[in-house]
Amino acid sequence: MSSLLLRWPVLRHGLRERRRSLLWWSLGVAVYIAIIAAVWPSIKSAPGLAELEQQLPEVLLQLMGAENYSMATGAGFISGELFGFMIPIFVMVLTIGAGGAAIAGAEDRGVLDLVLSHPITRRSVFRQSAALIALDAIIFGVVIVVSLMVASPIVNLGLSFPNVLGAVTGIVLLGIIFGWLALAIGAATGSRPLALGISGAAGALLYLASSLSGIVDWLRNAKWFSPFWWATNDAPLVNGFIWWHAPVMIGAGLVVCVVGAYFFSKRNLAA
Amino acid sequence: MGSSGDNSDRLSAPAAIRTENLTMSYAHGRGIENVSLTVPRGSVFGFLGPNGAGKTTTIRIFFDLLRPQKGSAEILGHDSIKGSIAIRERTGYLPGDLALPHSMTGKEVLEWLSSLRPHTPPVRRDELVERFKVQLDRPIKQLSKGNRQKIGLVQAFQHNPELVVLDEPTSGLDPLLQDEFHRLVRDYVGNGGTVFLSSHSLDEVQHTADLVGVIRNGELFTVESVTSLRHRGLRRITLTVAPNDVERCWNILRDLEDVTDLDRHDGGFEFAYGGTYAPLISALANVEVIDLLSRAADLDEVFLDLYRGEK
Repeated sequence: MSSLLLRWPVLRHGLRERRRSLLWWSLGVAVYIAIIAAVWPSIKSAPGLAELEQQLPEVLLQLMGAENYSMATGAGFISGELFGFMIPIFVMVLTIGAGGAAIAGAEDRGVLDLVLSHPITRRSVFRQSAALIALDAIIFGVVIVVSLMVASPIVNLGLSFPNVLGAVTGIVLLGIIFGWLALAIGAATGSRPLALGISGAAGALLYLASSLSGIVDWLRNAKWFSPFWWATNDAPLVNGFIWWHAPVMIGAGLVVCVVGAYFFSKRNLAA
Repeated sequence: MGSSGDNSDRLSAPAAIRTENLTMSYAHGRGIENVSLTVPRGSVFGFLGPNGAGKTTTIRIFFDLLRPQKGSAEILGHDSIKGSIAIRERTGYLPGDLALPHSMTGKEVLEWLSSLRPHTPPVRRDELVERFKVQLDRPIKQLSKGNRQKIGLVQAFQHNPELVVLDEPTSGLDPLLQDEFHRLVRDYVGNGGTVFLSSHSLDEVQHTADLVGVIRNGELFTVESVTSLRHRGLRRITLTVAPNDVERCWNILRDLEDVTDLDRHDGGFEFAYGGTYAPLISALANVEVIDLLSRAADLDEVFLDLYRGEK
């Protein structure tokens, strides 16, 4: 790792620049997980939760992403409360931010000119930036795994380690895809606002596409294009992550990177 | 090896910079057009022009930050696009609008930038840091513009490259440091280095440059040696005449072809004169001249004259 960092100075510099925000994000998500976990014992003991769930219309459960499991189990509760919405939002804000900052942001600040006056190719700068985003997401994912595995025995969530690892892997890959999308748009256009805006909007639309695909007939096939579906389909925390989804997601991310790097290597940089 | 051997070496080596019809236009209009220039090795080339003339655009093409729409640039014998990595390996660059990562200290910035050049160690770093008294331990955000600029100079020279391209290098430096900078440039060129120095100030260029290229509105309109620019024959003349001749003299001077920048003040005139003396003296034959003072114009005035000529 350290020799890789020596050979990849852009990645090393990026890690340095991002270490503080990564620390605060990690702390934030750990606290959030602790709070949600702390609520679980009182939810579990609340009478009639399972009955209430059975009375809810199927459509509503699908909209909540809770059609395949019961919110009355620890894994189901965490899956619905954390993995359905908040954790993906956390990780995406982190990675999209990192993606927009990496090339378009450096160009905005004028640092990119200085870097690229050194003997380093634009492709290499792109590659190292993509690695930085992936590393960001992975570190964040490790914090989530550790937080959950620490909380689980304390409040009796009954989480299984392979399922936690799988569910978090899906979320990490989700974050990497959107981070790479922001990186690619920023690198191809030089505009950080555009990178953040398009990636954020794409995130919102694809989230809807995934959660509505089971309900709205004409959106039935939209789920195939949504990283959310690939990451969270069939409640990985309860039923296990479908591991062959991982290479599909990585492949999609790499396609985005190749396109972004291509346009980056062709264009004029802003002064 | 004798000096003639050195000369032939120098002649056979490709020029440090050679551009041909370099053209780059932007959507909003500015840019450069057909810029062709050659910078010999071992010289200082002053690239002179007002802000927005196209200096930075030209320089950014050298480093493949911009791709020209037409024409080509060859740096140290390499094409600016195909040979960009080889070019950047052997050059140093100080951007005009220097931006350094704010949270790093000067030392960290210099180390980080030299890690981007793994094949050329920063052999001159310590000496340059000493020379410019660079503050290494404070974060960039706490440094004044001048102190940041010093770090920019060190990073451009620290790996002892063959060519250094400097975009407005002395902005923010106090006069003492400007002198130190001029000494650095002279030493560096004395040891075989080449400097391409862009500036909007003649003063800066006339002390260091061997050749001066003047660019305006994106077009290079002259490349001359500093001495030949000075020898363009432009003189600055102060003329004092008898009070009752002032009016007549004013009319005579106004009609003379080589008089420019004519200024009238009590009892006298001041103007720039670009011709030979005979027509001036015969025109003033019937004027009661009290005093005539003539001196060589400094480059600033030559420069203004060049611009006027172009209009």
